[in-house]
Amino acid sequence: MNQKYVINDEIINQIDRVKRKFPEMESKSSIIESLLIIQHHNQGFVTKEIIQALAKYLGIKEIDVFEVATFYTMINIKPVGRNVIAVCNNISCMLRGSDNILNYIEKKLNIKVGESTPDKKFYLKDEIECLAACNGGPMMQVNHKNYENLTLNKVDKILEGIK
Amino acid sequence: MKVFINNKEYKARENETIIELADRNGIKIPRFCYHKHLSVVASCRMCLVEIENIEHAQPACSTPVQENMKIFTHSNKTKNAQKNTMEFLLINHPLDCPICDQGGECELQDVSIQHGESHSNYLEFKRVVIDKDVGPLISTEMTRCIHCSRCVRFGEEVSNNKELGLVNRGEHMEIRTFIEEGISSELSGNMIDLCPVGALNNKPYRYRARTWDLQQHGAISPHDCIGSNIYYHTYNNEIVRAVPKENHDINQTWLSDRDRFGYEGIYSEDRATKPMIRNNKKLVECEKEILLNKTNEIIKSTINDFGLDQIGCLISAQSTSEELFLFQHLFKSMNIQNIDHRTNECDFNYQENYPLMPSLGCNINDLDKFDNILLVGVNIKTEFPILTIRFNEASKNNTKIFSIHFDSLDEDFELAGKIALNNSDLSKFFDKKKPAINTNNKTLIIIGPNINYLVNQSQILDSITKYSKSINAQQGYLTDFCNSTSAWLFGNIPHRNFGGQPTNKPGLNVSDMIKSGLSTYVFFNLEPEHDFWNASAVTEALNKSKYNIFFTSYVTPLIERYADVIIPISTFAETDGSFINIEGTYQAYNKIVNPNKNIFEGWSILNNLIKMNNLGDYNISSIRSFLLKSLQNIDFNYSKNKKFKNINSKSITNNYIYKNTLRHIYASDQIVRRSKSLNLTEQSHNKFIYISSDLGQILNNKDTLEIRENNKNYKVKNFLIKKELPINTIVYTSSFNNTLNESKSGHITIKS
Amino acid sequence: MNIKLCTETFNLNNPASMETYISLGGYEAWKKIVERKSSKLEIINKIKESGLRGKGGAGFLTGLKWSFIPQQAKQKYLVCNSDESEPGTCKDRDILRYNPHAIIEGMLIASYAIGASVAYNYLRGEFLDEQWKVFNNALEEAYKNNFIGKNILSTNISIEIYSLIGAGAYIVGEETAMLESIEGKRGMPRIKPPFPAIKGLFGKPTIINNTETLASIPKIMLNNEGWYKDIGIGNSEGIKIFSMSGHINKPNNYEIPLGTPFSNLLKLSGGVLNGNKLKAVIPGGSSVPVIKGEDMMMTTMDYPSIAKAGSMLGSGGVIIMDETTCMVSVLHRISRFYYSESCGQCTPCREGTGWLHKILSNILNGKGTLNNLDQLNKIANQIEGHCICALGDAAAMPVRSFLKHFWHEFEYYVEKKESMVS
Ligand SMILES: Cc1cc2nc3c(=O)[nH]c(=O)nc-3n(C[C@H](O)[C@H](O)[C@H](O)COP(=O)(O)O)c2cc1C
Ligand code: SF4
Ligand code: FES
Repeated sequence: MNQKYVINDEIINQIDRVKRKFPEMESKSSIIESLLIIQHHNQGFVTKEIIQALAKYLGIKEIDVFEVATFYTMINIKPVGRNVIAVCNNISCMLRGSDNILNYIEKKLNIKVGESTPDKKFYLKDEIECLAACNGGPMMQVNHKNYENLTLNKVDKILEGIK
Repeated sequence: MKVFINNKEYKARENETIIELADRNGIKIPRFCYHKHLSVVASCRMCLVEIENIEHAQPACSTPVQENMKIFTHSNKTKNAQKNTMEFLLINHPLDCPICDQGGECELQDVSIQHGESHSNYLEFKRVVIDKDVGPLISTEMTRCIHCSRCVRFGEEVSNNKELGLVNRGEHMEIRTFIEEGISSELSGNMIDLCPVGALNNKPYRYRARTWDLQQHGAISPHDCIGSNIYYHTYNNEIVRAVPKENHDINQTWLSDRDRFGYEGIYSEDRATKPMIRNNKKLVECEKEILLNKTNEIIKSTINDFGLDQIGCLISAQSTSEELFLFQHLFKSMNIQNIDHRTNECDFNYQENYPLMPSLGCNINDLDKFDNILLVGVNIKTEFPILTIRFNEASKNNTKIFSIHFDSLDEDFELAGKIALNNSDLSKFFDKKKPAINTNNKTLIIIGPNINYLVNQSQILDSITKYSKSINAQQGYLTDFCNSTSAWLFGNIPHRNFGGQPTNKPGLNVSDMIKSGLSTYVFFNLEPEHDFWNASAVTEALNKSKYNIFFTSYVTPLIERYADVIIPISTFAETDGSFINIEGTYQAYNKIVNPNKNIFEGWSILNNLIKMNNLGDYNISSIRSFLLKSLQNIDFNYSKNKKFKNINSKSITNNYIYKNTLRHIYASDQIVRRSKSLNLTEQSHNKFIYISSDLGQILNNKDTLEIRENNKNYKVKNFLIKKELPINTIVYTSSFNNTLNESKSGHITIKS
Repeated sequence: MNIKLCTETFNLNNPASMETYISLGGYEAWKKIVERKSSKLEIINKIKESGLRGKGGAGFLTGLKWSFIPQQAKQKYLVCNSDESEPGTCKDRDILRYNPHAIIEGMLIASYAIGASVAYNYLRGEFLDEQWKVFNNALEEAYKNNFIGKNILSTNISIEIYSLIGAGAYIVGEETAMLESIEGKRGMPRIKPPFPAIKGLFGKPTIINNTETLASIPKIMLNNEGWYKDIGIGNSEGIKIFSMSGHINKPNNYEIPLGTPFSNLLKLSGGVLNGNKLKAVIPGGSSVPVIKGEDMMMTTMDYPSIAKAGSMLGSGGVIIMDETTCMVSVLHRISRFYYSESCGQCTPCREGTGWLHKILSNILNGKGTLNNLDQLNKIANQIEGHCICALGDAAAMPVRSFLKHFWHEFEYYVEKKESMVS
């Protein structure tokens, strides 16, 4: 059975801070940042119950939250690994060899893009488009942190440094 | 403003879009996302048209006209642009029209024949979308969806109950509900109409017939007093589906699900299909002649043997105007005064003060012209779902709408406030809590059917009327059946005759008829089980009486048990009929399907009896012309300005515990109660007993309520505590078949 | 000339701090405006006169845009567009992390000029770690110093600035999609008219400007009339950051006067990687047409010159491709981008970008036909000019330019089922 999700006070505080940025009637405006906040506290993804709880708290329809959650690629609606790896392979990075980096990581972790390692340690995110670090290519983000001018060596070090 | 379309000059209005101008002038421009009652999103790009001096074709639905603009709806550039859009739409759309439910009435199919190419250059894989079950009324085939978003905008803008949304993005975009949820809006069927392709389909209608075999019949929906205009589609003399018929003043282009799917109740198994009379305690089938003679004989002998006041004549206000007219004509011409239609009520002290007939107090179109609307004892969402659309428009137009009720109920439009009062407080209108309105502004107070069912309705009506006079508000009513207006107006009440003329000797109201145990009862279109304020009192009366005559479309267990005569009559669909809606609009329609051979049209069997007694001879057109002529001569102001005299209802004090009924959306009339599809909806599963929290405290966690009402004791389980209820209140849905059905409202005591 | 506007702090210690910013004359312009209660019209006119063009991609005159705002409207909004997602563009992220106060001061001046009491800076979600934190710190500093907030510098001027974060969607960079996103909806562009300056955020008049545009404002206000205009060349006044990426020795952001010859810029960024031959350049982010290397060498970095060469200056994301580049792979990659970033509302873009990508994937997998190449052009034509926003055009333009300039390479690929360059 699905457990009912209760937003804890700490998160409520953070969401209330988000709400204050917008005019009072505009409850929907807080959806995106709230989802990111909750997701951060929920191993990187949101569930049906979370969406229901957030919709209730903001006083809006569940479907409105769901629409938003599925539009933006940083919101995961399925469980993913704890550490999110996003390798940019858009043109600038591609011209600098990002394909090699990505293939290397796929082999090293033994997963394909879009998958998580069985131990749920890593999630190799798909749908990665330009991460606005074009003059640092090839680059990747691990848990939103940029690592630029990658080499295979560097990749090894970075991944090994992750718990 | 001068605008040229295809080199011909047209007069355009300020701020008009090209498509509006074209539509007004019958110039065809294909479209998918545009709909005149929805916001413009210009996303499908089907309506692209060439405009002089603009490089690319522009969407006609979102481009405003300009002085001297030259538009070409058939040029090569236009055709090309439209053909290209068509090609894009078809690349991911299945091309199997022959097996699609929408085949033959698909806007995509029509447009592609006219604007597309017969073959596509697209050889890649087509997108496939997996379907989910969204409920009993709508079936989906989302692979066919072209993302016009009409259904989504309907939920956002019209019904204000958004259940379908756009999920994912780009090519992966899907229209769907929230995870695992179904569609439960009371207006959901409109999305079927809006869908230009076969993605959202009418589930009960699926595979019933192909569109080109259907016949279309315009009619009036009989399931509420709004009188929505409707088309019934028939196949082999059977209604297979219903769609809205546009009427700007009433239902616009919309229909509630109850109106759309209610007709299924016509095909219920328990239809009365043969004339029957009781012979040696057994019901036996008989010829029409015998049936009529027997009926007449019973009436005659009751009058002769027991007296005029020993016969009680009751008719449902869901009957047609023709039936209501002939019914009272038959009996009142015999000087019988015990006639009534208010079978769900119990307190009639108000009746002298009541207007000529109930009326909304304004035109439906004018609801949004009020600054304040107070809804008293009515839940629009479940009782008059079609009006949700109007109240939405009104609230967007800054009308403040308040709900005042013995329960706290949700609406799909914005409420400025909810005030929950128990029966006693309702009868001291706004002594305690007042809605926050500026009383100098234009205010409309609408009294709903739930008030009519209360033991102290007269007191409440009295107090509301005083209040509305004091703030100069308009007062209106919403009634429980589609033709209550006719019932009142034509004299199906004990104290007034046709046209509201007062009688010398008023008859008994329905409650007294039942209580005093008459010799003979005549029921027209009524189910003793459900259509009375107190079902067990009716059962007792039927049991004690000498004769019971039932004009009925259905044979219920009580009818089977107690009827001496069963006259099987048509439903609204099997007869020519007419209704007067709550605005006072008279609307007539022709028979939609022929009744089975042994079922009589209600008006014609009544006319047979009238003829037998030399009281006249009517046909549909003579009744209608008589009614229309009389309507012209009736003084509608009669009794409207009459002062409400102080009414002493049964005394009510705040120490009572009140047990009240809520009308259930899909149990509201005989036909709807029998609609298979509506019975499968979430609403139909949603039956409940709520008690207020103060009562919950008295109970001290016990799970059984021991109730004493009218010297009877009974137990109730499975109740829930509802915080929002006013104190001392129990509320339950009318369709809940248990001992609470004893009476529709009352005061009770609880053993704690 | 070595004038720097937005990048002035980039190479300093503690570049993002208020101290650093103030040491370079930061907040002077704002203080003056607040103290003198400058006329809004004067500010707008000064920006108009400077010739400042929007740096977000469309190059629209900033002062002119501001002048569209109905001054009498009560509630108005300013939105700073820090959604930077155009492939090849990475300038705003550096301004955000190295010179955030310039953005804040620019937002304050712009808000004041258009009469907005609330301004939002919308950062793309992927900036969550560094830029979001740096910018929020800077905001806090500025609030503490009473440059923002209620009764700014003890006057009756009040302006609130809030930072907002996206969650991964390129299309939200389109200004009306950004408004939808701020309203908490899916980032789907709106139809225009009405333009945001008339009916924008929450239905109120709104101005949206790019980060670099706004960060340029303080210096323009601080200097004399004519100062900014004189930096560039006629019709392309001022200065612009170019993000140099791809096959280049010193990939970086270079803020240079408009009108600078491309060859100088190339030199500045260390020349083509490994001394290879320049094959092609995408001069303004992946949405704009590609230009052949030799043509690019003849071009100067300004709006008219690049337009003459058949492309656009766009966002200033300059992608350099050397002789080893397979143009089929590059176009395939670009097509994937637009395919996965289309918001999906309008038919030609939703269906067309997918179709383009599928065909290009087939070609890349050796299953393409010559017919496919014509088809690509045809689909691009079907998309172009028929969509709600410019993403459709952005998806179409690269296709047509790649085919136009490198047809033989595509032909080769289709026939030989392998790339001409590897
Ligand atoms: C698909 C698309 C993506 C865009 N992305 C961005 C962006 O990431 N950043 C940006 O500043 N402008 C972007 N723009 C341009 C904006 O719509 C808008 O023109 C700009 O923010 C206006 O600011 P400016 O006048 O200061 O340039 C984009 C436009 C389109 C059509
Ligand atoms: S062009 Fe593409 S991104 Fe722009 S509105 Fe249309 S579907 Fe959305
Ligand atoms: S009808 Fe105009 S774009 Fe859809």
